[in-house]
Amino acid sequence: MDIELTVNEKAFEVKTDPNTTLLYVLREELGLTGTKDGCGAGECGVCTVLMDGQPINACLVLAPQAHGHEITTIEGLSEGEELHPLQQAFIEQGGIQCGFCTPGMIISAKALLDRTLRPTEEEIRRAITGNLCRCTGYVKVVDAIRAAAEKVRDAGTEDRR
Amino acid sequence: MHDFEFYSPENLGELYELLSMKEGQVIAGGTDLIPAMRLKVIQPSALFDLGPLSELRYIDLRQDRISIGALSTHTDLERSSLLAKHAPLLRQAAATVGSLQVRNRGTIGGNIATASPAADTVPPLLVLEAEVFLGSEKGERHLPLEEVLLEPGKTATAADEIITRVEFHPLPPGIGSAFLKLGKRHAMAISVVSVATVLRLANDHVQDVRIALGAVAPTVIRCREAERALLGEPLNEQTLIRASQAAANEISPISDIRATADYRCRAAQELLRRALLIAAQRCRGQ
Amino acid sequence: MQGLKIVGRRVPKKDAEAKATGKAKYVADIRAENMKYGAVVRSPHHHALVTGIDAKKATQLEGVVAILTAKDIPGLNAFGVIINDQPVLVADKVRHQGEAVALVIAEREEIARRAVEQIKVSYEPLPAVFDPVQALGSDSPHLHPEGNLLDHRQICQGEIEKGFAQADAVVEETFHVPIVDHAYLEPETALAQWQPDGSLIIWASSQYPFRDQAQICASLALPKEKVRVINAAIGGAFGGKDDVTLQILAGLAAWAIKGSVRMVNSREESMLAHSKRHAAELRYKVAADKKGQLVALRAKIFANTGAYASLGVPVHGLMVEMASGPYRIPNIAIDGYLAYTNCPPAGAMRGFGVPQSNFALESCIDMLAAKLGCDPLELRLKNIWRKGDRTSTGVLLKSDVGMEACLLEAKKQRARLQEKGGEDPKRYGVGLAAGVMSIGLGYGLPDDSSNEIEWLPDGRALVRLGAPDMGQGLATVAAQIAAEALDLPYDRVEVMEPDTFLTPNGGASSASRKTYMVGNSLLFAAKEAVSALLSEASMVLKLPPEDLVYRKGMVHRGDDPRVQISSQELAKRAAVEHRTIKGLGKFSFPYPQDTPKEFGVGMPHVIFCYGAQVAAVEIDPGLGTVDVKELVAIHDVGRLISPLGAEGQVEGSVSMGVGYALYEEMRLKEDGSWVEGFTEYLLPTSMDMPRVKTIILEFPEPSGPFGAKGIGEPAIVPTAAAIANAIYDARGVRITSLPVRPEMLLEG
Repeated sequence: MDIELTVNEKAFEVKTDPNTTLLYVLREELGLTGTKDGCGAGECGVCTVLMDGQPINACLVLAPQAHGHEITTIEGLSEGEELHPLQQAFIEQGGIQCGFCTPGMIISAKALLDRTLRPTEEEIRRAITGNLCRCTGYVKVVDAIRAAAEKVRDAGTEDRR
Repeated sequence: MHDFEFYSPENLGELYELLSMKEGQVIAGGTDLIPAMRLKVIQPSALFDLGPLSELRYIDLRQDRISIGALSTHTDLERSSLLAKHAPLLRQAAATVGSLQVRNRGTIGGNIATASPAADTVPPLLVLEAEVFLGSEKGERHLPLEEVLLEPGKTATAADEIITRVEFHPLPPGIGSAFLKLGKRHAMAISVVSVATVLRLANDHVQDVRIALGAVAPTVIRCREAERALLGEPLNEQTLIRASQAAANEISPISDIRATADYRCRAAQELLRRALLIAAQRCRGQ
Repeated sequence: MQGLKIVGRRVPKKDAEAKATGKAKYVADIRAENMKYGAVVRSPHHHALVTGIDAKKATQLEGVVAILTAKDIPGLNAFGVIINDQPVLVADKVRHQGEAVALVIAEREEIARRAVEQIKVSYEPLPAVFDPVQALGSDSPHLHPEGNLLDHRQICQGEIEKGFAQADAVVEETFHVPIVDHAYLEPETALAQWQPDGSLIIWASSQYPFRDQAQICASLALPKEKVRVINAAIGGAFGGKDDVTLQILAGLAAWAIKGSVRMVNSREESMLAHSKRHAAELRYKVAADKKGQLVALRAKIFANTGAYASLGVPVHGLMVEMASGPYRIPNIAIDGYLAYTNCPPAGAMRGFGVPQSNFALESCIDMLAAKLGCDPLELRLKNIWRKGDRTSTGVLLKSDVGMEACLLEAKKQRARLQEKGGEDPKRYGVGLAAGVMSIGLGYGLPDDSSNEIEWLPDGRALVRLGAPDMGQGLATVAAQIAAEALDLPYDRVEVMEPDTFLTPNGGASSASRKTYMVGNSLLFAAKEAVSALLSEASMVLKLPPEDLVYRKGMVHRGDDPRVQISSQELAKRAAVEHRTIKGLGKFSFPYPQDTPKEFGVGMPHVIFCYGAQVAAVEIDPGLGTVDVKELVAIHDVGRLISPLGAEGQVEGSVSMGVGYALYEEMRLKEDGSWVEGFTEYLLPTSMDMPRVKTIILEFPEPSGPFGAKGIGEPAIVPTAAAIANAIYDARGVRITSLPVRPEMLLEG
C-alpha cells in the first residue's frame, strides 16, 4: 500500500506493507538511520521521533498509521552545518557515550523545550523516562538538556528551540 | 509481524460497517497491540484503524457529565484542565502510564479494552462509576465499567462493537480523591498495586466512599466490603485497619516476576490506607 | 601534571558530533548492495538433544535464499574466547535456551523470521540445571563430557584456623548475586559482504575485531588475508561484545550465498543468546580481633558460568583474586568453583567478577564493624592496603595506593549525607563500601596493543586505533594522548577505528586497560612518527636528521628555525610517491620480575584502581521500596586524561550498579522461560537514578601514560555494597541477595 507522510518538512510517498512500522519506513525505506531500533516494544526509546510535534516510539506506529502525519527525526534538527542547541549541548556536556540512545534522547528533549525553556530537573527527568540510557547514568544527559534550555533562553532565539 | 489487511475507515459509519462484515481487530494507539503482534501473541487477520476518527478524541463537560472520547490519549487526559478540576485522580493516573511516548499514543479506550488488571486509568474510572459507551452498526449501548471488565484481556464488548466514550459525573466540591500506584521502578512501570478512591466526609464521618484496586485480581476491582467497612464510620486507625482487612479479603493477587501474592496483599492494604488518608485530607480542604 | 596542554582537558568526544546528528553509522545502519537478511533458529529448550531438522517448508517460502545448519560450516564449528567450546550452529545438543541451531537467509528480514518459524527442529529434552551448587552435585545432569566443573581456584595465605582462633568477632553469611544482562541499547549485529575474489568484509559491533577475524577464519576455513573485519560505531558493549556475537554467522551466510547478509538480534534474542554477568553463591566468614585488625577470611564461591566457557575462567579468577578486597588479612582461604549450568553463557561484564565478591566482602566488613561496635569506615582504614604491602596473591604494591585517600574523602561525604537526613516517616540511611579492581588481563596472558600514527597530507595526524571505542571514549583519549605527545592541537588529530586491514592489532577493549595500553603504545608511536618525519625532512631539506628538530607538526633546522618544513608538506610529497609517513607503537603489559607465578594463566594482576562510594537511601517502611537519594563515587584513576570521559565512566558504572542492587535480574519465570525484553528485565530510568557526585583522585601510576590507570570498570565494583550497607543503616536489615526486593524490607 502507498502512504504519504512528511518527514523533516519533506513530503514522501512510500510503498510499504501494513505490517511494517514507521521505524522501518524511516530506516529502511527512507534511509534515515539516525533513528535507532533497540527493542521493538516501546520500552527503550531509541526510536523516538516527533509525530505532529509529539514524541512517540516509531516502533509502535504501523506504517499506515503514519499516513498523513508530520514526522521529525534527528536528521531534521540540524540545519546544514549548524547544530541544534541540544546537539551542541550534548556534545559539550559529555551527554553522549555509545550514542545509540542519543538521537531519541535529543528528540525527547526537544519536545520538552518546545513546551518550556525553564524546565526543572524533575521535568527534565520526566521528559526522558521513556529513553533508556545504559552509558551515562543520565547525569550528563540531564546537564546537557538544562544547558541547552539556558542557552536557547539566553540567546532569546526561542524560534529555534 | 504476520500479514493482515489494514483498513482506515473515514468515519464511524464506515467502521461499524466493516466491523459487522469482517473479522478483525480495532487498533487505536497500538501501544499494547503492536508489541503483542510482534511477539505473535495475537495475529488478527485485519486491523481497523481508529486513528483517523478524530470525532472520538475529546474531553468535554456535557450536561453535568464528563465525556471522554475513546481516542483521547493519556497525554490528553494528563493535560486536561477539565479533568484537573473535576476528576484529578484520573488525570494523575494517566500521567503514570508508561513513558511520554506511550502516553502520546495510548488511549483511554485502549486502556479499558485491553482489560489488563494493571491498567492505570481503570481504578479511577471505577470509583468515578464511569459508564462505557459501546457503538456498533446496531446502535449504541452503555454499561457500567465494572460490567465491561470480565477477565484479563477480555471485555463485554461484542466483536462488532467498539468503545466510543466513557462518561461520569464530575466530582462535586467537598469530595476528596486519590490515586496511588506502586511499580517496580519510578517510571515506565507496570503497576504492582494501584488504588483509587473517592471519599466524602461529613462531620468527620464517611458519608460516601468508593475504592478500587488494580493488579491484585483478574480485573481491576471495586472493593465494596472495604467501602462498607467505612461507611458511616469516622476515619481513624481502627476503621482504616478494618477497611484494609476487608479489601484484603476481596482481592486475589498472584505471584509473578514483579511481586509475590503476599507482598501485593500487604502493599494493597498500605496503599489503600494512604489513599484514604490523602482523600480525607483533600476533603477537609487541606 | 605541569605543562600538559591537552591531557586532562575537558575536550568533546571525537565521535560526539556524528552521534548527536544521527550520522554515525552503526552496523544496522549500513546497507550493502543487494543485501540479504539472516535470522537464527534458536532452541526453546534449556538442554536437549537435537534429533532432526526439517526445513522443507521453510525452503519453499518465497524469498528464502538459503537455510544453513551445522553441516554447512566448512571449518571449525566452534568458537570461544579461551576455549572453542561453543558451536556456531548446534549439531547435536543444545545447552541453553536461545542457542543457535540453524540460520536462514532471505530477501527480507521479515521473510527470514517467518522461515525461522517454519523450520521444525526435533528435540529430545534433557534434564537441566541452573544453579552452580546443584550443578556440582553428583546427581546433576552434565553439560559437557568432562563434567560441570570448569575451574577451581584457591588462594591461601597464613593459617586460616589459627586466624579464626585469634578472633574476637566473627561474621558468617551466604550471599547470592543474580545473572544480569549488559543491556547495551544496540543489540548484537553484523554485516558480511562476500567479495568476488573470494574474500569477506565483515562490519562488526565488537570489542575485539582481530579475535573475531581469527574465529571467522577458523570456522570458514579461510586465511587471514581473506577476512577483513571493520568496526562500525558500537552502541555499547560493557564486556558483552568481547565474545563473538553474530560475526561468524553473518560471515558464514555471506560466504554460503556469495553475497551480502546483515543480521541483527531482536532484544529478546539478545537477552537469551549472549554472555551475561556471572551469578554466584558466596559463603563468607570474616574475623577481626578487638583492636579491629582483620585476622582471617574464608570464602567459598560457587560461580555460575552458564552453558559455555566464554571468559568464565578469568572472570572467576578475578572474583577469587579480589575476594579479600583491598585489605591486609594475614590468614586467607579462598576457594572458588566455577560450574557449567544451562543458563545463558556468562562471560565478561563490566567489573569482571569483582562486583560479586565485593558485595559479599563489603557487606561482611560492615557486619563485622557492627559486631565490634566500631565505625565501619575506621575498620576499613585500619586494614587497607598501603604502598609496600602485598596482596592476597603476594603481589608487592610498588605504586601509590589511593585507597586511604578515597576513604578519607568518603568520610567527609558520609558526614555531609548523614547531616542531610531524610523525610519522615521514611527510613533514611547512609552506607559506604570500598572497592578495588585490577587493570590488565593478568599474568601469563599475552596482552599487547599496537597502534599507529600517520601524518596526513592535510596537515593532521591520524591515529590508526587498533582497539574499539565502544562508547567509553577510547578514541578521544587516544587523540588527546597523541596530540599531547606530538604537541598538536586536539582537532589536528583524527582517529580511525579498528579495521583488521588498515589498523594494527590494538588488543581487546576490555579489562579497564585501554587508556593504559593504547596510551603507552601511542607514546611510542608518536616517537616513531616524529622520527619518521625527521628522516623524511632530512631527505627533503638535505640535512642530517640530527640537525633537525620537531615542533608542533613542523620540522626545523636546529640552529636556524627559519629553515623548516611542515608535516603536511612532507606527507603530501610522500603521497605523490604512494608512501605514507608513520610510526607504529607496540606496548606489552608489564609484569615485574617478582610477579608470583604459581596461580596459572591470567593471575595475578599487578596494577590496581581504588575507589569508595557512599550511598544515601530512603526506604518506605510500609512498602519496602528503596530510593537511592544520592551516590558519591570517589575513584583513584592514576592520572586523569579525559575528565568528561572519566566522569562518564563513573556515572555509567554507578547506574549499572544501582540496577544490579535494585532492579536487574535474569530470572526464570514460572513457565520455565527467561524474563523477556525490557518489559520484564528492568533497567534504571532517569527517574530511578539519583544524582551521582563523582570525585576523581589522582595517584599517578608510574608505568601509565602520563600516570594514567583505568576507570572503565572500577566504579561499578562497590555500588551494590554501598547501597546494601545504606539499607542496613536505614532499616537494620542485612541484604544477602540481589537485587533487593521490597519484600525483604517490609515492616510489621
